[in-house]
Amino acid sequence: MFLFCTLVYAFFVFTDVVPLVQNKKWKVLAVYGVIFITAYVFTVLTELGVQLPSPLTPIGDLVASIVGSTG
Amino acid sequence: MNKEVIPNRQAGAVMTMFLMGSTLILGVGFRAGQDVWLVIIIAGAAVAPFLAIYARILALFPEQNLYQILNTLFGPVAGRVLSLLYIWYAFSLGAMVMRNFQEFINIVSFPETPIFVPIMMMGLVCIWAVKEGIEVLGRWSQLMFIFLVVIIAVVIALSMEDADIDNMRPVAYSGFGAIMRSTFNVFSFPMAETVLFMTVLRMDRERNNPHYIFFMGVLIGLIVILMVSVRNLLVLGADLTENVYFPPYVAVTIINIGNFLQRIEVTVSVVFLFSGFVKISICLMSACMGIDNLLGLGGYRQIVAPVGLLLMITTCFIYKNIMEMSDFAFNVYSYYAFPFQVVLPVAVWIAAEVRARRALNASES
Amino acid sequence: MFRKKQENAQRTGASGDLRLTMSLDSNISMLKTVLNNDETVIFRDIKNIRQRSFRCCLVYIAGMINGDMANGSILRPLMTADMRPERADGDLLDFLCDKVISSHEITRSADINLLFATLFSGDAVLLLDGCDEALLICCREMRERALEEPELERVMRGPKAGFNESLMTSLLLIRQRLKTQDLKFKFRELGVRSKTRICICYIDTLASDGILKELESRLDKINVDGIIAANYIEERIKDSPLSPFKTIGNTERPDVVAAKLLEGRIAVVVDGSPSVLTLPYVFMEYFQSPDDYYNNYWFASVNRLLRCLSEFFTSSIPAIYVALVTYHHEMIPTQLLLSITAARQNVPFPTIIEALILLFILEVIREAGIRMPSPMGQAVSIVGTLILGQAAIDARLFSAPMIVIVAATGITGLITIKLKGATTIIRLLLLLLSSFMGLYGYIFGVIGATIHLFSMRSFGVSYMTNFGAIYSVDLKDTVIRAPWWYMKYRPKQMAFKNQIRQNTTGRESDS
Repeated sequence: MFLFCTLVYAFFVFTDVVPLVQNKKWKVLAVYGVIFITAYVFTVLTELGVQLPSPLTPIGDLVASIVGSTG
Repeated sequence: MNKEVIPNRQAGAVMTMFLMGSTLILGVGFRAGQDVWLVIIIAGAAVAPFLAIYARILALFPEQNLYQILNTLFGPVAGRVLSLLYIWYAFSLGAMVMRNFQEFINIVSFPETPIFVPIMMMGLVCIWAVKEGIEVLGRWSQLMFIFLVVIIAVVIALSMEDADIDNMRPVAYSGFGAIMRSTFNVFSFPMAETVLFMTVLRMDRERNNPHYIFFMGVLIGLIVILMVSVRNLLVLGADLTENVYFPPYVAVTIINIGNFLQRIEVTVSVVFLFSGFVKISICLMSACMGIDNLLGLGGYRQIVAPVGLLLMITTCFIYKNIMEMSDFAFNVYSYYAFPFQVVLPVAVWIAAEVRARRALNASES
Repeated sequence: MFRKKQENAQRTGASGDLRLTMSLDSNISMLKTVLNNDETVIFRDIKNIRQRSFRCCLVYIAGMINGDMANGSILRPLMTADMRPERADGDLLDFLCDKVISSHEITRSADINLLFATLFSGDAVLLLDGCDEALLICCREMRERALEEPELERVMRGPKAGFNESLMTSLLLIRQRLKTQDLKFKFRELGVRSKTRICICYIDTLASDGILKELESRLDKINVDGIIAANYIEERIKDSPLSPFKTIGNTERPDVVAAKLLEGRIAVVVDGSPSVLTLPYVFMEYFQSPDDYYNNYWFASVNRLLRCLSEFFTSSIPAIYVALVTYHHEMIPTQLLLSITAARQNVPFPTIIEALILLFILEVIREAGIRMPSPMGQAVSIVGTLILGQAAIDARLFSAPMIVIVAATGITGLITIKLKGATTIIRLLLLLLSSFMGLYGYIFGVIGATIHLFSMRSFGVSYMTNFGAIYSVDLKDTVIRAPWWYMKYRPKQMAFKNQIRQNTTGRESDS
């Protein structure tokens, strides 16, 4: 599974990054790189079994505190 | 191709499929019980003024999507901040929907499959579709939506054998308050999620009519959702509808024609994938367009892949389990979505009208 | 790429530096040097009976020219005509052209490349002593295949002529069917070494100028050694080169080409290939056959539906079967499930491997059927059916349901032969996806394939134009064929100039 995910990411590197480098679009490449690496890091962490915090939990807590009790 | 403008009918078809998206597997109106039909109709009426607002905003700024409109209206800084909010909304909605589908496939069919596999497949297809652009999605939806509606109609017809009209009575037993609460629920999921279409569609001056797109799209989507929900209610009854995770799916399992046409729910559920695919693609496209506008990248197609990959992996950890998913959908989502669906659009609309009024005065004087 | 161009320029440039001189002998020896003593090239010296100083030489390739015509129309007049300066006034070459040689096509030229091209096309070159130009005389022997019905495009009822390899014959077949001045032919030459002539045909008042211009600009960009068949061009100018679906149609029937030209399309005829390219091409054309228009519309509609369904079946059946049997047992009716399971007892392979092996064997049989000589046909089909089929099942190598599935796939695949390349790939992909994740994988594959189809364009016309854009005028010619009196308009996206077909049939019902 881990290998498969890495293959998918590598596939995207080949199809997307190479043309970006060829066309010298550095800004796009930077943004691309940041998001890509974030996603890859998350993937690796999830593979390793680390439970990443969900961004919705604080929202849920916020809403609960505003609205009062749930339901 | 680069104009990213699609004809009215196609946009309407995309919107209808978007609305059908997760409602076909989750059902709507979670606590409405036997009044779900009433709730849906009232929610449809309640969302109408907001649809008019969304359409009006797009009509006032031809050839611009919401991100560009925000920049125009509120200046580069505030506009960017607001864009960031919508990017976040689109992204989170996409992750939620993808998680819905993944849980569905997991629980209903493949409990042993690692959660990556359906997510990976859905994600890759969505990335590909978004890269091809809204034009392709529009044309695709125009055909597939007919196909989808036909299948839904056939399945509903097959379910009628097990339908029981008593399940719809008594009307409004739980009282007005419960109905209102459910209406609010249905309003935000899925009706007013069409706010995202403001970020994705661009109106061509002559060819497009945003009011037609929003109203027709939502109307047909409303009818389909109504039919499906009523079918669920008639076949399953109010209690069962509330207590299962995927009411439409369970309703279909009951179909048994002559001992031959039975257990066809997998056929039905795979077809639901079509609409889920459209919904996730639109969310992904919206997020990518937003990022493109925010950072000035000159084209959203280039970053579809990493955003899509990030979306896929976020799907994995956005909820811990299905119970958290249900809980969030019942209790929190309506409030979470409220600012994006109601507050911000109204603010944008007022600002837009004021500006249009000023421009009119300036040109007259 | 750069290097090859330069080399080419050098090689063909070498003979470009040569020139004809006034002296016949030096011309002859120059030609002989270039041709390197090629024994098929004949140099026939001619003198005149009246004029002593008249000398010329006819150069031709043995066997390529029409002997009777050469003898009677060229050699005899040259030998017997009165070439004396009193009679032959003015330019000698003009005199020969106008008054002596009786051939239907004569040109004068000093261009060495043209000379060689003419020589190799089967015409004769006449060199004169004292002239630095040569006469190119058309006298070739027309050796062509008879016009036969093409194998892959048979019809039950309708004309049975097909194109053959000669460009001129193909063009005249088209011309015979469209006797209008609006039918325009534009000639070109492609291929540095093959110098293949191609012709772009279109009806001026119907075809789109934009598409024509785009086609010409794409043809201009082609720079290759040789064009042997139409496909060489097709691959270089088509829109989605990576897609298994073709965006330029081809046909070997003149009636099909004429009909397509009438719809506003453009045809490209290539010398040496009976295949004619038609563009733009949309997905629906895969399912159209000329038979549909020569037969009753009910029958035609049923056939069309049959073709569409067959295409769906042939690409999906193996995938769906594998998905059902491996993942979704509950969907199969109980009786059937029991018999399938019984048949699959003791089969060593998992279903997916079985399917892949059998599909591979199907492809092998198909390919072998094309290549093998007919005497062996009988023996091989016996081997195929009896041994592979029966014995394999008895030996428990494959299960009988699987063989039925693969046979059904093969037969339905034969109905839409034009799609076979694309179908094989799609079938394989769907099969792999469904083995991975059951029907969900299959549906994702379908979504992916349809997204790909919807994203394609052929010369600006969207590929799935008849499906997605629900213009009712276009739907009348898709999965059904509406009767002629309903089809009043040409396909909307194709016929840019003249949307109304000349189609009033005198029936009162059309308004």
